[in-house]
Amino acid sequence: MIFRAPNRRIVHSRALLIGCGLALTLACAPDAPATAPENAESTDNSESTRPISSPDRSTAETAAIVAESAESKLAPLRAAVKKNPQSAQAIRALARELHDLNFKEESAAQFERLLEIDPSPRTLLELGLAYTGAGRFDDAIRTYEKRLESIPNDPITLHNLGSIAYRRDDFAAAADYYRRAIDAKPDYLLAHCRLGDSLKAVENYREAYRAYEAVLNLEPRNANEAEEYVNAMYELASLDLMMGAYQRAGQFLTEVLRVAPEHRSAYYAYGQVLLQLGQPELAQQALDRHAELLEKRQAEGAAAGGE
Amino acid sequence: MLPRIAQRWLALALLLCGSMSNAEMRFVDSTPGSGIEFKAVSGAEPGKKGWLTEGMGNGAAWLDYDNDGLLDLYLVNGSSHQRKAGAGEPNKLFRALGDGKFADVTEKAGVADRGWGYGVAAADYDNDGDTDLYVTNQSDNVLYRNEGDGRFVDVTSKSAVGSSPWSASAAWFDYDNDGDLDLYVGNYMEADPKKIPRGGSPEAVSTYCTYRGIPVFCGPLEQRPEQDQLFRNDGNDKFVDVTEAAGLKLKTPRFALGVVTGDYDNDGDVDLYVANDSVTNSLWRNNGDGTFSDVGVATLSGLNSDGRAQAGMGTDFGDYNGDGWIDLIATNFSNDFNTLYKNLGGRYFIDESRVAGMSVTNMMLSWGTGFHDFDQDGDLDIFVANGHVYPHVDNHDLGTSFRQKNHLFRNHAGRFKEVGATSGPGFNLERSFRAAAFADYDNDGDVDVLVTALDDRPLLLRNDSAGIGNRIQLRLVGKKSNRDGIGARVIVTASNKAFRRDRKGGGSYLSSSDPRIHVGIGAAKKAERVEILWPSGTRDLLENVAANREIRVVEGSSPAKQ
Repeated sequence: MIFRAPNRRIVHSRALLIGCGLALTLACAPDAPATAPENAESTDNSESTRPISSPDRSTAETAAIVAESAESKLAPLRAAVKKNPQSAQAIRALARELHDLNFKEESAAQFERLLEIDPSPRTLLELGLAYTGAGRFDDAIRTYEKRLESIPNDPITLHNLGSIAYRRDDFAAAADYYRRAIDAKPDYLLAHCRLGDSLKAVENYREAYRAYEAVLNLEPRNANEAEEYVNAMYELASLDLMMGAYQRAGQFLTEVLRVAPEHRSAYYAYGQVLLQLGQPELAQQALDRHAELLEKRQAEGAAAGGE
Repeated sequence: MLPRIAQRWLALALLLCGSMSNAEMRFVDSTPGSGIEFKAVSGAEPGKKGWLTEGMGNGAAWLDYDNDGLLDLYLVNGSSHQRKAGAGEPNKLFRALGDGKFADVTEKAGVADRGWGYGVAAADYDNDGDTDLYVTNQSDNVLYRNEGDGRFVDVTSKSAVGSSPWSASAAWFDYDNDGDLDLYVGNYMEADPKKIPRGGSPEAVSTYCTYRGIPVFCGPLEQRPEQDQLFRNDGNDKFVDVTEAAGLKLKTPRFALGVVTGDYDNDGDVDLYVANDSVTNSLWRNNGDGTFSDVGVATLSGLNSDGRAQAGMGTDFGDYNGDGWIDLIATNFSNDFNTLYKNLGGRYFIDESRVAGMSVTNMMLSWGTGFHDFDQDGDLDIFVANGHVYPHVDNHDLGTSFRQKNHLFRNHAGRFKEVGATSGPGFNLERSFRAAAFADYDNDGDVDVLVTALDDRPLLLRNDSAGIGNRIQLRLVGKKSNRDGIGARVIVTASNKAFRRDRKGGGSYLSSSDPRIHVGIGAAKKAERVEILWPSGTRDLLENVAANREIRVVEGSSPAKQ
C-alpha cells in the first residue's frame, strides 16, 4: 500500500466528493515510495509475512533452500551464545533472529533463558511476544501480568493482552484491555483501532464507530500509525456502507484513496457505495480499478503458487 | 418513515435482541442403530498428520440408486500416504431399508472404489432413469454407471473423465442445454507429499507453514493450484474435456473446494460458482454459447465486502430473501465469517453477512453448507458443518478446538440467528465435521442432514422438529431437459407469496443431496400455483396443489398457457 500524509481534516470536511472524488483518485499516481510499517518494537500488531518461493521449484525444494539460508543466518548467532552463554546481548540477538525466521518455539526458549540472566520488564515484554508468536497464549498472559506488576497500567502490555484476547475471539475482554490501554495513554492510536475492531466483532457498531472516529483526532507519528489511521477511515466507511449512510461512506473512501491510492479494499467499497447511490458507471470504474490492483497483487503472488 | 440509516440500526438492534419467534427445531443423532457402519480414514491419525491431504475429509451422497422410493447413502472414504495407490479404505453404499435402517450393499453394487476419495456427485448422466455416481479422488476419479439392476459398472476409462489431479467437489449440470448432464470437477492443489514439506519439519516452519505460531501442515498458498475441468457429455458414456474451449482455463488456477450450479442472472442458462481456498471465489457466467465468463470480482461475489479473498470451502445457492434471485453462501476458515452474498437483480452481489447476522466472528472453521427450510416456514435457513483443519490446535491454548459443533442459522425475514444450542441434542455433538448432504431420508417431509467427520463416523441428524410448517415436495422428471431436471427453477405460490427453489447441481462440500425439491409454505394448506421452468424452456404449471405429499412432475405433462 502506498501512503500520502493523512489528512486530519477529513472529519470536518463537508465537501461531497462522490463522483468527482472518484475521478480524482483514479487519476492519482503514487508519488511516494512504499513505506514498510515501522515495527513498534514491542507492540504485538502483526502476523508474519510469507516469503515468495520460485515457481520453478517444488515447495519442498524451496523449503529446503530457505531452511538452509535460515541456518546460515543463525549459525554465527548460535556460536556467539555458545562462546559467551551468559551474554544477554548474544542471547537476545539469537532469540530475535529465531523469531524473525519463524522458529517461534525456539525463540521463546531463548527468551526464557534470557529472562534468567536479565529479568527486566523489557525481557518480559519480549518473552510475552515470543510466547504469543508460538501460540502459547496462557504463558504470554502470565508473562505480561508479571510485567504489569513492575509497570502497572503499562499501555503496551495492556494492548498486547488485548491482542491475545482478540485472537481467542474473546472480544469483550479484548475491548476491556484496549480501553485500559487508552485510559493509560489516551493518544495510543493502535489501541483505539483495535478497540474499534473488537467492538465491531461483537456487532457493537455504534461504539466501534466512535472508536474509529477517535483515531481521526490523533496525530500518527510513524508509518505504522499512518497506516492504521487510514484503515480507521476505511472502517468508518465500511460501517457507513453497512448502515446505509452511503454519502458519508463515499466521503471517507474518497479521503482514503487520496492518501492511499492503492488501497484495494477502498475501491471495492467505493464501487459498492456508488452502486447503492445509483451510479453504476462510476461504480464500475472503481471496481475495475480494484480488479486492476488485485491482478497486480495476484501476479506478485503467482510466483508463490496461488493468486 | 424512518430514514434508511435508522431503519438499519433498528434492524440490527432487533437482530441482536434475538427477537426470533416460532417453535424450536430439534435434531437428533439417528446414526446409532441405523446400520451405517462407517469410519472415515484420512491419512494418519490426528496427532500424526503431516499434510493437508489428510485434513480435508470425505463426502457423501444421497441417491435412490434402486428406485424404490427410499434414499440410499453413499459414503466416500480415504487412504494414507503409507498405503499404495488403490489400497485405501473402500467407499460404501448403504441401501435404505425403511424405518431409518440401512444395509451395506457395496460389494453387490460394485462401488467400492479404493482410491483416496474426497467427493461424490450423483446424477443420471445417461438419462436412463437411474442415478449414477462420480467419485473424486486425490488422483484419478471414477465414474460408475448405474445398470438399473442394483449394480454399477466402472465406465471411467470409456468416458475419459477420470484423469484429474487432486479433486474436491464436482457438479453435474447441463451447461450447453442439449438435454444431457455435463460434469464440472473442482480441483484443489498439488498433493504429492514428496513435493511439499511435512508439517512441523524445519523446512515447513521456515517457509511459514505455521498457524498462530504453531507449526502445522502447509496450506495451499505456497503450493501449486490445480486447474478445474469441464467435461461435455456427448452421449454413449463419452465425454470431452472442454475446459479451455469453454473459457474456464485460468492463468493461475484457484484451489477449488466447493462447487454449485444455478441460474443467478435468470437468463435461462445455468451458471457456476466455485468456492476457492484462500483466493478469489469464481462465479462463471454461462454466456449461452458454450462459453463462460469469470465474473466473480466484477459481480462482487468473489470477495467479501472488504475486497478480501477468504478461504472458501463449501457453498450453496438459495433465494434466502424471497426476491426471486438466488443468493450465495460461502463457508470459510476460522476467525473469519461465512459470507452471505445477496443477489442484486442478477448483476451484482452485496456481502450482507453483517447485516443479515451471519458475520459473528467465531473460532469455527466451516465446510459443508446448504440453504434449506428446516422449519418449513417459507424461508431458507442455513446449516454449516464445522471442524478445524489442524489437529494441532488442541495442544495449544488458542481458544479453539479440532472438534467443533455444527451451526444452524434460522432465517427470520432475511436475517439469521444461530440456534444450534436450542435445536436438539444432535447439535451438541463435537467432531471435526466436514461434508454435509441434505435429504428427507426418512420421507417424513422435513429436511435431515448427514454430516461426515474427519477420521470419525458420520452423523445422521434427523429432523424431529414439531409444530413446523407445511411443505410441497416435487420429484422432477425431465424429458426434453436432462432427466434429473437439474437447472430447473420452481416457483411455488402459497398464500399469495412466491417461493423460488432450484434443482441445483453440486452444492455444499464434496457432497450430493436429495434430488427432490422441498418447499416450506408455512401455515398454508395448499399451493395455489406450482410453476416449473425447465432448462429446455418448457413451463409446467400445477394449480391448487395440496401440501405435505410428494408430487412427481414429468416435463411437459402440465403445460402452462403461454
